[in-house]
Amino acid sequence: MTDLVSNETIAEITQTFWGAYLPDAGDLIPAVGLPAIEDVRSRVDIDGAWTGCVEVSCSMAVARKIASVMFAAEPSEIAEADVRDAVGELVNVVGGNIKSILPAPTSLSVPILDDGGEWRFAAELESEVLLAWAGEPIVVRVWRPEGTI
Amino acid sequence: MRALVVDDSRAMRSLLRQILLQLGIEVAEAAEGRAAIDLVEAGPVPELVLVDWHMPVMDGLELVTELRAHKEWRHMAIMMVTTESEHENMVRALLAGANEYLIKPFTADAVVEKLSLLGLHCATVPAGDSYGGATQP
Repeated sequence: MTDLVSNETIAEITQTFWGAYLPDAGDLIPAVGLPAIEDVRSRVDIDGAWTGCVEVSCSMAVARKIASVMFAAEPSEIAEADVRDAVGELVNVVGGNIKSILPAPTSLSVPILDDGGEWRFAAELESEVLLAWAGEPIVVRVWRPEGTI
Repeated sequence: MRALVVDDSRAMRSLLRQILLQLGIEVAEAAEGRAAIDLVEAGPVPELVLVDWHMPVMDGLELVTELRAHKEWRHMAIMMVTTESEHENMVRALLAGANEYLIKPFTADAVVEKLSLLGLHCATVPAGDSYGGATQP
């Protein structure tokens, strides 16, 4: 894991999103050994004094539950575009707060959503945090450009 | 009171709409700065504008600068609502004309506190209530 931001900090930042926007929907807790389900993926790119990206992925069921709270609607009423929008905002907030503890100045991209095509990008894994919400996995990854330390 | 929420995320606009409606504030929405300018020009002019920073077409900093270029809108309170927390950028937004700055993620209580700092008095969010109750247009 990087010296810049610890796994604990990444987890705390992600939990802060839950505390603020999903306060009545159960706690987000660290998970071990839970198989990742990555139906929905989104990332924000960070560029500047530190370059890389932050990615959040989860199952469609989890993404739909997140969206249902944010849109104040039943999960069955949530369209796929709403799901993608909600996960985009999740990665925007998590990535933005991770950016705030990295060397400055940096700029943050708008969320980039997995549209079902080739998702992998030229990067090396800097850190990976696995969390669980109601027994369902949520993965937060920080990536750095290939060939950098 | 009327508010305009400007954010490219519909989910975020929904959250803010739910909070503001509970405070008795009417809400209009725009997905980026240029659309927000169009709404303000069409009227009615909102008393409060909540502005995200990172948006396509026209970002939040450009929007604040544009709004403040119109003297007839000087009464408008502008609050940045963003993940952008670098001190230098906060200063840039305030110098451009934003009156308050709220960093995401925020709670409903934090929104109420910021509105109070702006001198905007509104209904109180019921104790223990979160964001539920509002529906999407």
